[in-house]
Amino acid sequence: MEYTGYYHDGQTSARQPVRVTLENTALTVYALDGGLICRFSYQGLYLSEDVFPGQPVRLRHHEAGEAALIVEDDRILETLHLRAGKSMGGWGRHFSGLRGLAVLLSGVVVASGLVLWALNMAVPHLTVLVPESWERQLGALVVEQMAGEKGFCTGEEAAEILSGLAGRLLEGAETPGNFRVRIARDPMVNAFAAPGGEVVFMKGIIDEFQSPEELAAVLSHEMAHGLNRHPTGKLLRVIGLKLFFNATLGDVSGLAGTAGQITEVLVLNAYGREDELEADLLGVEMLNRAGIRGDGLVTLLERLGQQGGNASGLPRLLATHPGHGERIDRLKGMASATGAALTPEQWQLVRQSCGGGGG
Amino acid sequence: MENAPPGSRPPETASMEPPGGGELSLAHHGKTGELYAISLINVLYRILTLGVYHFWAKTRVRKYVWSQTSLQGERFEYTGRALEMLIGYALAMGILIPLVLAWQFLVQVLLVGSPGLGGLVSLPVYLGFIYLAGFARYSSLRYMLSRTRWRGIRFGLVGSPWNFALATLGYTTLLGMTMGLYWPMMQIHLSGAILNNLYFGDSLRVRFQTGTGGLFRKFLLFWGGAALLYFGIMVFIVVLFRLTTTEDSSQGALPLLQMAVPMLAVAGAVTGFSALWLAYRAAELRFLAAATRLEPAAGPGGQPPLVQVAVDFSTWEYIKFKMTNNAAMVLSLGMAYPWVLTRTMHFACKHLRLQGDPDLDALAQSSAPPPRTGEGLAEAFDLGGI
Repeated sequence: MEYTGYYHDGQTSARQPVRVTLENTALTVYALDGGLICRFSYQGLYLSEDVFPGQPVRLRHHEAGEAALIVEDDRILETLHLRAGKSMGGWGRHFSGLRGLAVLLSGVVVASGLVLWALNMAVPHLTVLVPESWERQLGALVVEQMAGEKGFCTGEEAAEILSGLAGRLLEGAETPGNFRVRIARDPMVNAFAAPGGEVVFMKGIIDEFQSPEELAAVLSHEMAHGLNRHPTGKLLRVIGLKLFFNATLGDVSGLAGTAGQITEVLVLNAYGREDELEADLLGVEMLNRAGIRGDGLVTLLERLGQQGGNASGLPRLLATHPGHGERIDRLKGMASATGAALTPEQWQLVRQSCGGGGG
Repeated sequence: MENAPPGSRPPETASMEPPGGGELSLAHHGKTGELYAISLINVLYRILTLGVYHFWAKTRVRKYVWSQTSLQGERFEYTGRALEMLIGYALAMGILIPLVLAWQFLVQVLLVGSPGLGGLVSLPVYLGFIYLAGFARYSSLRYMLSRTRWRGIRFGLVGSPWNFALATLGYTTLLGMTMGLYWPMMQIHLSGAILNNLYFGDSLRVRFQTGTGGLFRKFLLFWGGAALLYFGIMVFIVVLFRLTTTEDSSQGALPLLQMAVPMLAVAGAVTGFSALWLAYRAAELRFLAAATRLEPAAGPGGQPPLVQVAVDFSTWEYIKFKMTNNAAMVLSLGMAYPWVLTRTMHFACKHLRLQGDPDLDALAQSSAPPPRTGEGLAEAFDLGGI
């Protein structure tokens, strides 16, 4: 089989027209006057780039230095395949318009799905591996960063009352825990758990509570997240996702921004449906064991649900997947205790600790 | 760095009669669909390798773009290897990461109580970043050119990336001190620093030579226009605000007007500013091209040029082209990139004119060894490009 083409010796820019013949073990290049220019053994022969329709085939050889051979007729790739028994990677020639694109796109979708599924499966196992000391340091950092210059509401009595309540809720818990509960001077109606046993109420939600049982319910719910290590899991999931998207989009300029976003992730992002249901369940169990009336979360959810149009007042607590009605029905059926969470005096102290109104 | 020889004052723009009367043909043969196929394969491999494929992906795209671009019917060739880029990146990261960590530790841990001192420490770091970005730009270009061949002959960029980095730092400082007015001079000096060091094999070199006055006058037009636009919009918003608040706006009589008109004004200002900027850029590109020639590499500077460079798009053509690209990128969340890249290559090849009739068969290969690794730092700074 013979082809025509041209040859660059890599020393000058001269473009020498040549004839190329394919033999059993090598490809031979002849000048048009018949003189032998060189022989390229099939071993070591490679394509300089993918070949697309209408594109000349540029061949180089590992032992030929800077020399290159160019053949206009891309059928040489098939001949090479037959002769040399090796595929030359000219996949671009077989690419057939929309159909090819559709196949590739499906591949991307399937691969993304697989990686995301694997990430989701791996998170609970990875969470267990994070040492508790790391969690505590991370949690303290996140909470400090969140509070920022506004800081926390001081008032030792209120702090003691909240710790006492947390202690009561932990009694008889299967997983031992050590929680630190604080109120941040932030008007947002929100509460969140950070890794390492940190629970933060924002002043906005303390003002929103109409009974100590509502506070106890939210506290038990957030502590349940903490006991199940959901905050750490959420961080791992978000970091994993970010890495995945960076990798996909080819952004290797670093993950510098991620650290600053940890707080945002914990404060604003919702947990998944399963995490939320798990926390509801464990939260009510804790209330039952502590003998505290469990309807606090129900009344709070119902009241906030009615104000639902006001997005800024809608806590993360509500912005999750389990439907309202479903969640409230479930909680109603589970609460069995009837005791109070705090005495009226204690409740007053907590309400006033951040300069809020009493009652 | 080699600069224009001293002597007689160079002309404002080096436009002259096309040497030799002929013209070299430049063409791009790439198709959007093919580049999408390559991009999808790249995304697939990136996912499966958790991102490590990035360097192979980039190399693959370059090989495609280069091999679909031809000069006088001969296609360019990209011979860079992904592993070289990966090694360059690892080296750059090995230097950058400890530096950034040390700086962050200093500012966020040791100097946490004194923001003033933290700022003082950070200033040299920011200057350092500008310096390193200049270094990265030059060395990445040097790598890319050394891996670019035409008819088997390598391009090459001599000169020192450190000098270029220093120049970048100096000019950027001047830019800040002159409220941006130094921009055209910076572009001319930095273009010269690159182009006057650009060689093709051992036989041809680029010569960039021009004064700055003509471009500066054009920049002043843009700068003045932008300032007028800015103040105009500000006055418009303030007047509108006054007008609507003197009426009974506390009842929410005109909330829609109050909200929508300033937003429209801002959108209009952004579009107006972009158009002004692009109009200047079109003039700048024409100016820089006209100051660029190809000369024999041997012998003194100022020899008769073999090829005179020019770009021939009109200002309106350029504005339309860039605005369409930007709109496509924004509206598609970046997914239009292969389309934009193909379109850009077609546009560039159509409007870049190489006037002259040099003997292209007798050019000698470069005797300088090409750099062994490259672009790591550029990648770390996310300098973009193909």
